[in-house]
Parts: sequence; structure tokens; C-alpha cells
Amino acid sequence: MRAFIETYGYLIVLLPLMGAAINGALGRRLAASFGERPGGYIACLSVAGSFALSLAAFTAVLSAGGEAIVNRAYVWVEVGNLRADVAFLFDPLSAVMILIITGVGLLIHVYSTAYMKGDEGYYRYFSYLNLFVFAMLLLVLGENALLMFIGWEGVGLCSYLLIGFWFSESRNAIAANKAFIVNRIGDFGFLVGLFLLYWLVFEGTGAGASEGVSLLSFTYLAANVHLLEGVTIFGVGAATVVCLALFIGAAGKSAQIPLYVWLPDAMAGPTPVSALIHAATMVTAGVYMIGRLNPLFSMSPVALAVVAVIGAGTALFAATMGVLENDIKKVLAYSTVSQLGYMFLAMGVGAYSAGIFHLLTHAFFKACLFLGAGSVIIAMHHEQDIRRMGGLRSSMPRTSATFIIAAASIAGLPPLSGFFSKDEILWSAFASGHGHPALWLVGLLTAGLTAFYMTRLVVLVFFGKNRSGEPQAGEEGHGEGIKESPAAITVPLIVLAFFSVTAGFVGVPGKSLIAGFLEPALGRHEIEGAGHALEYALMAASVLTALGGAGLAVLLYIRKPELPGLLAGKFALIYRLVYRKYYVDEIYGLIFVEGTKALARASAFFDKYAVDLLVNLSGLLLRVQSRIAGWFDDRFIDGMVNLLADSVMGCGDLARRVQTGRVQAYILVLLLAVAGGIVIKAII
Amino acid sequence: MTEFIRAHILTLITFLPLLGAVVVLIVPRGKEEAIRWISLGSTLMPLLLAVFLYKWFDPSTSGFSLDGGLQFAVNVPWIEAFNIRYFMAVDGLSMPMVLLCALICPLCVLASWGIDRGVKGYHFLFLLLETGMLGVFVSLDFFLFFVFWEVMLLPMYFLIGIWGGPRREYAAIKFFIYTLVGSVAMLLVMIYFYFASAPHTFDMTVLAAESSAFGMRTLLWWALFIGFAIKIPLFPFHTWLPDAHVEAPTAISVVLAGVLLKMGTYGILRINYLILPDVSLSMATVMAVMGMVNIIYGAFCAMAQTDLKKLVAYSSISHMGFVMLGMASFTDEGLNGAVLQMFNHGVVTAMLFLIVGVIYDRTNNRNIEGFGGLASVMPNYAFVTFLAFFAALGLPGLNSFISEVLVLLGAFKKFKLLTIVSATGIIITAAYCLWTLQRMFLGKVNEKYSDLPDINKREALSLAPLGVLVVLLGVYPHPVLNLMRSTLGYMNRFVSGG
Repeated sequence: MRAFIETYGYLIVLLPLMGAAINGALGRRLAASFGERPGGYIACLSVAGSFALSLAAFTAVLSAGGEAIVNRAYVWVEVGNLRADVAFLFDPLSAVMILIITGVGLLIHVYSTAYMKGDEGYYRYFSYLNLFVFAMLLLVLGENALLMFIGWEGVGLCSYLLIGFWFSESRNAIAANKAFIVNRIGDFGFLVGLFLLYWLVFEGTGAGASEGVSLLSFTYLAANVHLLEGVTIFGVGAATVVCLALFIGAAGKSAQIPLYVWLPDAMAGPTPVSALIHAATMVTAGVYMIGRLNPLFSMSPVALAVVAVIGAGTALFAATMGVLENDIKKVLAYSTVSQLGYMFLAMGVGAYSAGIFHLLTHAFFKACLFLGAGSVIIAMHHEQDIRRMGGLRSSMPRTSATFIIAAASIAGLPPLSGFFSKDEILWSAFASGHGHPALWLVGLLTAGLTAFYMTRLVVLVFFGKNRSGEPQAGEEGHGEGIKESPAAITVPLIVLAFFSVTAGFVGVPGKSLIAGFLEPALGRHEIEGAGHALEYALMAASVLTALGGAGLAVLLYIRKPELPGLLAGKFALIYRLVYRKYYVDEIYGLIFVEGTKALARASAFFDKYAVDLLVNLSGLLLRVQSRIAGWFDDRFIDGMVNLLADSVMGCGDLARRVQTGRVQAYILVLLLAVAGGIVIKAII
Repeated sequence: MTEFIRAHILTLITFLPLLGAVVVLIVPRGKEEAIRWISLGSTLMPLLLAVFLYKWFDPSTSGFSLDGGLQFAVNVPWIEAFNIRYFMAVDGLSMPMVLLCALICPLCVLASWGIDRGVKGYHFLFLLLETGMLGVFVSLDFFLFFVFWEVMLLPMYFLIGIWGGPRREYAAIKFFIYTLVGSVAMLLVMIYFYFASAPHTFDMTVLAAESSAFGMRTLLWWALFIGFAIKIPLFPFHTWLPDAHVEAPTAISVVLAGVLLKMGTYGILRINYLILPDVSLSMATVMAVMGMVNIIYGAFCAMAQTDLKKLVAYSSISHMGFVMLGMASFTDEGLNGAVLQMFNHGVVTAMLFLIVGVIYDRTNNRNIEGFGGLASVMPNYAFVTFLAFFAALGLPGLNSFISEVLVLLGAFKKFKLLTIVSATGIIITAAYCLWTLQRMFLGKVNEKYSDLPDINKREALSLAPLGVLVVLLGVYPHPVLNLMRSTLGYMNRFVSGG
């Protein structure tokens, strides 16, 4: 198996690319002759193939005892001391990631065949979706940071294309732009981090490097980051500067403060896209990146602290915004931002495997939630406002059951998967060497809020009265009615719900399989000196908080439905602030968007009226000068130029255009000036 | 036959277009179609020969003499009284430029198929222009270089001044005057070099070897530099470019941005760096700052434009800043990145100007705000435009990314903050590229343009080779990088005194 992956590992990445190419190049023709289905099949098959190979790779890594397996394709760039190969790194970390990407990806592809049915851009959709899987796989399998960066921006591109998939709506196109540009800000940080790292490893440390070494390869970096010990740049520890720059990239891609603003808008894309890209995979790339570079981050307690604080802060901040949101997808979007914050909290306290564990469970329950939301949205004929839903439990039994399971999982109810992974993070935040009780408290509060808004969502969508005006099965009324979705949609839901329940068992405290598996890549994270009693007490606290949050939601939205309105009136200011998402978008728009545009206008103005004015003024001066020399011009040069042009070009017309009296004079003056300058210079 | 071609390949490549130009002149009136085909043939032949040149070129040698580095050399006396020689050769620096020029010219002829006013004069001048451009890249005798430099200038002036847009005369004059200033400066330096060398010579390899004895080095360096900076163009010598581009016909914009601008940076590398290496090295910071200003200032100016062609013109200014920054780093990464960026920018910007031409031909409109939803009206056109714009914003996996990253990696070794500031250019560039795409291609379809035809075969044929290169060189830049590596490595050691 190992030899197979060493030779053919690239196929995992290549298959989805081929799928994308086929659908992109031939999709329209295929659809014209055979209908839309073949395009969908090709896309699903390519990801299925990739999934099968990923399983093989996983077993290979497993049997290699966690030792990294590298599949080298070719030398990509080789200049001076820079060498980057197109090569794929299979280690426990990437093995887990590719299983999530291709596994969840496959389910979402299958789901999409039903969800996108009849859409004009069906083949285009699958081409983009396959391209995304390709880019995401490249991101996690890239053996060096430069190759990873291709995937990094590649997923950004696909995200851009898919958010703006229904591009005839300007709103969608603008959301797509926003996503790409905010991500670019992050990518700028990523790049600066790479420059620093490259320079540091090359000469900043004084170590130098021989030619042909793949400086930015992760294995090389892991073995050599210790060189950065004690090195400073800009007066700060080198590792800290590098990590913070890289973290800007992670914050952009994974929607953390202050770069989270693009993700809620990204919900403009088709719902399966939100599930795959904006929940399960792409947005976790930042978490993955820190995991991948953990030897580097471990060197800088300062950077880790920043990651942890930003993560915890984002977790809480985004959760508060989820509380008052009424768009079913946006609730989930804020929840995703919040859960990603948890993952960064884990990374920031050095509990790398806990972060990846939550990444895994989150992929299942959040994908399940998004796909469930998609199922609801289809049934409601593209209604997304939860105030106009309600009581859907009776007509959509499978969707509602799976959604509720996933919601319970994210809320952290034992023994569902979310409980285990979240608890691992909270425990680490409290007791790890890099942790702090305050971080734990923020995480705990977030857990309560999460349970609250998820319960609110479930209650408003699936329980209570049907407020849609559309009849459910067995009800009287007009309209097409609300129906359960077909098997292509519900089967993926059931699979994902199953894993939302069970995935947690790979990380049971004390005998965590996943932590053991990831150990060769992420190192061991021991929490010393803290007793099990404390751990169980904290666990109980978090379960109670979650139950409390859920109970409050039940109270507010089922028992006393008049209460939320009353409270909103009473705390109008806070309500408004949270409801409008703290006006962050408006503030950013004013400062950054308008600021940039103003700068652009100022530059163009300067260009036109300052730089060019000088040019035109000197032109004017020369024209005046040329008047003075006019008689000379008329009698001699005019005739000569005309003669010349007539004889050479046979085209007297041309000469009239050259001959405006300016050019010759200009040359004359110029020659004199330069000659004068030289003479003066020579004299001095 | 092969032997003959091999021995005279540079002469053939350079003068075949001129031969075509002469043939064009003698074609009788009324045979416009024949002229176009002759013109296409005369540009395809250099391309074919350039492919052979690529095949025969040995990328492993380095140096700046006939013993090493320079290949396919022809070095015979031309005007013996002044020791002027007909000296042509290529090395790893000129090879990519020759290839680029040979590639872009036939595409320009394709893009000029729609020109129906003064066809004969147009194609005559265009072919003359190609000879001038190729000549510049292969000449190693300063005098010969200068002759080609001037040969290139005049056709350009007429092509803009006669076949251009409404303000063509203003634009042409502006172009002419600016370039002339550069030429005059270069002429004076050339004459100085001639008299300073002993025995008097224009041979660049000899000048490079003897130059340490020349006086007034800094002044000479600046004279040359400003001459070339106008061509690149570097801020504040750039304002001729947007005007020239806006008024020039499509194909001329393509040549202008695709090839002509590179002569500025080529000239600096070839003449400033090799003949005045010590001054060049001491000016590193100045050049890097100028590169940074170009990157940022050009990008901001581009963002403010509503004329698509002007936007692309300013984006050229921004992207050429990367070339300057890479050159100024005096590192292998930076220099290779710079020359690769010259090639890549040539490909991408040629594509962009062709794309502008496509929409302008159909609508007589270039106002970005005036479109909307074109992606559903012209899907194939949308595809190539997205590809070109994403290449321009340096999307990894496409060609420009590699050159820009090499430039920045190299520059970062020498200039920390300056490089970081320059790197913010990638954000601004992404913003204006995406904003342009959004306004033109996304959103509601503008009813006025709801039935525009998609790109036709001829347009596809002119865009496809560039599109393929954009992707291919992003995934596998080796074919171009390999050409230049040894030469630029030598150059860096030579200039840095290592």
C-alpha cells in the first residue's frame, strides 16, 4: 500500500481536477445531448475515486506507523536557493483531512445532484465543485508551503465562483467579491509569513542553505525551525513575527476576527456549497495550517496566546450574532464562525489534536445542519426566514430527525460527537500549560449560547405552528405544499447524522484514538498536574450550561413566545446593536472600502492633474517657443519633411501630422539642454 | 539548409518581417486580403525560427562573451570607419524576449484583420516594427542596438497617430516626445562610451569589460536609466502610456504593452547592469523604491479608471513595478522573477488588450460601467477574460504568481518593509480586477448588449495560445526559467561583484 501511494498518490488530487475539466470543457455539449445527469455522475465518480484512494492512503499511513509518505511528481520551481516540488505529503494529519474532504465531499456531491436539479448552470456547478475538491486536496496534501498556497488561493477562487454562482443577482456577485478580497488580505499575511520564513531559514539565522534544498517543504521546516530560536526581527522574536503573519492568513480563510465578515455573506451561494466549503472544509484550512506548522507555533507562546484569544473571542462574538439572526443559513454561518473560534482556541492552547478532532466532528454535524437547511429551503420553495417556517417536523420526518441530532451534537449534549470534541477543547483551555481559566469561561459561555441559538433554530423551524402559508402533508391550503426531499438528499443527511453521533468515540477522554493517531504529526499534548475530578467537574459544568441554554430557548420560543419581543423592547439598544451585527460591516465599508476608493480617486486625480499637468505645461512652453521659431520652420523644415515623407512613404498626409512644429523644436531644445548640462558638468 | 539557418538564424528572425514589409509594399492596390496573409506569414516565420532557436539554445552556458553565454553569434564589421559591427547574439536574457516578441506579433496580425483603412501602410509599418523590436533584443553592438531602437520608434508613432482613436495625435506626439527624450539620452551615453573606450568601439561585451575606466559613471547611469525608465514606464515618466494605449488600435496596444515596455527593463539589465555594474548596485534602493511606487500607485490609479483600456494600461504600470523590484534585489530569485515577470506580463497583458479589443469591436464602448451580465451573453468571452484577470491578479497556479512570488521572495532578502508594502499591491490588484469583472460580467444583463455574439474563431485563435501559456507556465514554469537561470546567475554574480 505504501509503495502504491508513493507512486500514485497524486491521483487523489488529479481525479477531481479531471472531473472539473471534463465538466468545464464538455459539460454544455454533454447536457445538450444526454441531459444534465451525466455531468453529475462524472463529478460524483471522480470524488468517489478520490475517496477510495484516500482510504488507501489512510491505511498506508496507519500501517506506516504515522511516518510521512511523500509522492513526488516533478520539480515545480527551482531558482537560486528556492526549490519547490509538486509533491504530496501523506501523514496522519493530511490523511484525516483528505478523508473528511473526499468523504463529506462525496456526500455533498450526491446531495447536489438533487439540489441543483434543473439549474441552468448544472454542469458549471459541478465543474466548480470538483475544482474545489481538487484545490482543497492540494492545500492539505501540498508538501511545501508554496504548493499549499496554490490550494489555499485555489479554494478561495472556487469559493468566489460558487458564492457568485447565480451571478445575475448583483448581491451574490458582490458577496463573492467580498469573500475573495477579504481572503486576499489574509493571503497577504500568509505570503509575508512565507517571505519571512524563507529569508530566516535561508540567511536570517546565519545558517545558510545549500542549493537545491526544498526550503519551504514542511518536513524541512519541521526539522529546522529550531534555528529560529533566539533570532529577532523588528525587535521581536522571529518565530512570533512569522506565526502572527501566517495567522493573518488563517484568520482570513477561517473567518476569524477581524476578517470574519465575508462568511455570513458567502451564504449567497447554493446551500451544498455552504455545507462543503463554508462549513466542513475550506474554512478549516486555517486550523489545518496551524496544525501543519505546529513546530513553529509551539516556539512562540506569544503567537499561541494571540491565536487562543482571537479564537475564544471569535467564538463568543459570533455566537451572540447567531442569537438574533432570522435567516436559517446565516444562523449556521455565525455558528460556523463561532465553532472555528473553538478550533483556534484549541490550537492556541497547544492542544493541536483537540482542534483537529473538533474539525472532524464539526465537519459532520455542520455539514448535516447545512444540508438539512438546504432540504428545508427546497421544501419551502426558497424561503430562508425562520419566522416564516415552523412545524416542519410532521412533513419532513427524516430532515427534521437528522437536523435535531446534528443540532444536539453541536450543542454538546453527551454522548454525541460534539460533546467529546468541545469538551476536550474546554478542558485544554482550562488546564493546558498555555491555557487560562478565562479562556475556559469564554468557551463555556459560548457553549451556552450555542445550545440556545441551535435550540431556537430547531424550535422555530420544526416545532410549533406552521407559519409559512404553505400546506404541509395532511393540511388544507393552496400552493404546492411542503414535502420531504428525495433520497439523494435524505441519504447523505442520514449518513452525516450517523457520524454526528458516533464520530466522538474516536476521541473519548483518556483513550483518544485520534490523538494517538495524530501524535506523529502534531506531537503529544499532555495536561499535567490536573486531576480527573476537576476534569469531570468542568465537564458537568459545560453540560449543565448547554442544557441551560437549550432550556432557555425552549422557554422563550415555546412556553412564552411573547417574551422575546418584550425583551427586545426592554433592551432596545443592545438588541439593535446585536441585530445589526455590531455595525461591523458598515464600519469596514466606510473605512476600508471607501478609504481605498478615495485613495484610488486621489491617485488618478494626481496622475491627471499633477503629473500630466507638468507634461502638458512643458508641451505648451515648447509650443510658444516653436512659434518664435515659426518662420524657420515654415521655410525649411516643413518643406524638407514633406519632401522626405513624399519620397519614402509616398504619403504626404503623414508628414502633416508629424509636422506640427513641436517635435523638431523639442529635440533641438533637448539636445541643447543636455549638451549644456554636459558642458557645465565638464567645467565643474 | 539546417546549417545555413542555424548560422544565420538571428539575422533571419530579425529581417524576415522586413522582407515581408517590402513585399507588402509591392502588392498592388485592392488586394487587402493578400496583404493580411503576407503579413501573417511574415510574422509566423520568425515564430517558427524562434521555436528552432529555443530547441537549439543551450541554457547551461553563462557569461557575457563569445566564449561563454552568447550563442548564435554573428559578429562582422559593418561600418569599419567607426568600428561599428553587425553583432548579434542571444543569451538567457534575450531568449525569453525574442520568444515573446515572435509569439505576440502573429497574434497581433490576427487581431488587426479588421483594420480596413490603409491596410498596406498599416501592415508595412507593423512588420517594420517587428524587425525593430527583434533587432533590439538580439543586438550587442550599441550602435546597432540604437538603430533598431529608433527603427521601432517611428512605426509606432505612425501606427498610433494614423490608426488610433479620437485623440490619436495628442497621444502619438506624447509617445514620440517621451521616447525621443530617452533616445537622445541614450545616444549621448553611447557616444560617450565610444570615445571613452580604447580602441573606440560600440561592442557591448568589450564595453562591459573595459567600463571600469569610464568617468562620470553616475551621470551616465542616470541618463541611460531615465531613457529606459520612460519605456517601462516608471513613475513619474509614465503618463504617455495610458494615453497611447487608449488611442492605439488593439494590436498596437498589445505590442506596446506586451513587448515594448520590456525593452526598458531589458535595456537596464543589458546596458546599465553589465556596463555600469557598480553604479547599478549602488542604486539598488532607489530602483526598489521606484518599483514599489509603480506597483502601488499603478494599482490605485487602475482602480479609479472607468475606461477598461486605461485600467489595463495602469495595471501594466503596476505589474512592471514587480520587474523593477525584482531587478533591484540583486538576488537570484529576484532577477529570475523579474525576467520571468517580463515574459509573463507580456503574455497576460497581451491577452488583456486583445480582450478589450473584442468588446470594443462589438460595442464601440469601453466604459466598464456600461456593461453588465456579459457572462451569460458571451460565456466563452467571459471565460478567457476571467482567466486573464485572475492571471493578472496573480492567482497561484497561473503564470504571474510564480514570477511575482520570486520577485517578492528575492526582494524580501534585501528590503523588508519595502517588500511588505509592495506585497499589499496584490490586495489592491485583486480588488480592482474583481470589481471590473463584477461590473462587466456579473449582475443583470444590460439590454443594449443582450445579443452580442460570442468570440469568433479568429479571436479565439489569437487568445488561445496566450491562455494556454498562462496555465502551462503557472503549473510548469521550467521551460522559461531554465532558459534564463545560468545567464542571470552569472549576471548577478557579475554585478554584485561575487
